[in-house]
Amino acid sequence: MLVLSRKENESIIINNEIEIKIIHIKPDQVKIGIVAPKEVRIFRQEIFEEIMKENQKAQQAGSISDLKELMKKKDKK
Amino acid sequence: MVKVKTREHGEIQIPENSEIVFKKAIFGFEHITEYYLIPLEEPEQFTLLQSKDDENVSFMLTRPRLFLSDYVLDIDDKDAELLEIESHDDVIDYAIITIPEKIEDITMNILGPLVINTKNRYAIQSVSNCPLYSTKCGLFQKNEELVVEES
Repeated sequence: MLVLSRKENESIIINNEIEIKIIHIKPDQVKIGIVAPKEVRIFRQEIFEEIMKENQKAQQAGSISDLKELMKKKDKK
Repeated sequence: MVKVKTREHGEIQIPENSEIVFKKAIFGFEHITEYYLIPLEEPEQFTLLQSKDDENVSFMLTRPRLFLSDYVLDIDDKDAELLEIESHDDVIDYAIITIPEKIEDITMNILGPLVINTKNRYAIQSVSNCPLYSTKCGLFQKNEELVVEES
């Protein structure tokens, strides 16, 4: 991993097209600004973990007969 | 018809051409790319996604708009390219269902929707850009706060 030190308002340029700027530094948090072409998708890393965890949970699915019963109940309402 | 082994329903018969291939796998299931997509007769709101090679891997899916009429799928150019989408009419999207202990609290994952090109049967698990969409959207909760204003 490449590690660089930056101060507030300093930037890093990746591949001549993505700018990552340190906007504000607090003791326990940094605010980061990103300028990138529209086709570059940017997500917080936790989002992938969240989806992965939910996929694992979803995999232990219940039975179809339970779903049948549930939908019948909801239809009546 | 093809015979398919499933974990919960034993061996079932499904139509040929039920296969789909993931071009970007379901997160956490990167080793599995080939599935059968099996719409249920009852309850018709749900579809079974069964791994072709591993009978122990299956997901229950639904069409998110059945429960959240304002749901919007956003798909970027890269994903559209990966799926080789030529027309939006060929695209069909699903959300994976999670069934908790109390089945009434059933949720769908609209943060990571499944997108399928029905023409070539390529699929991906996408990631929504909408900050309002979560992995646990209640099927039977009022979701009025989830209306996305089109800009």
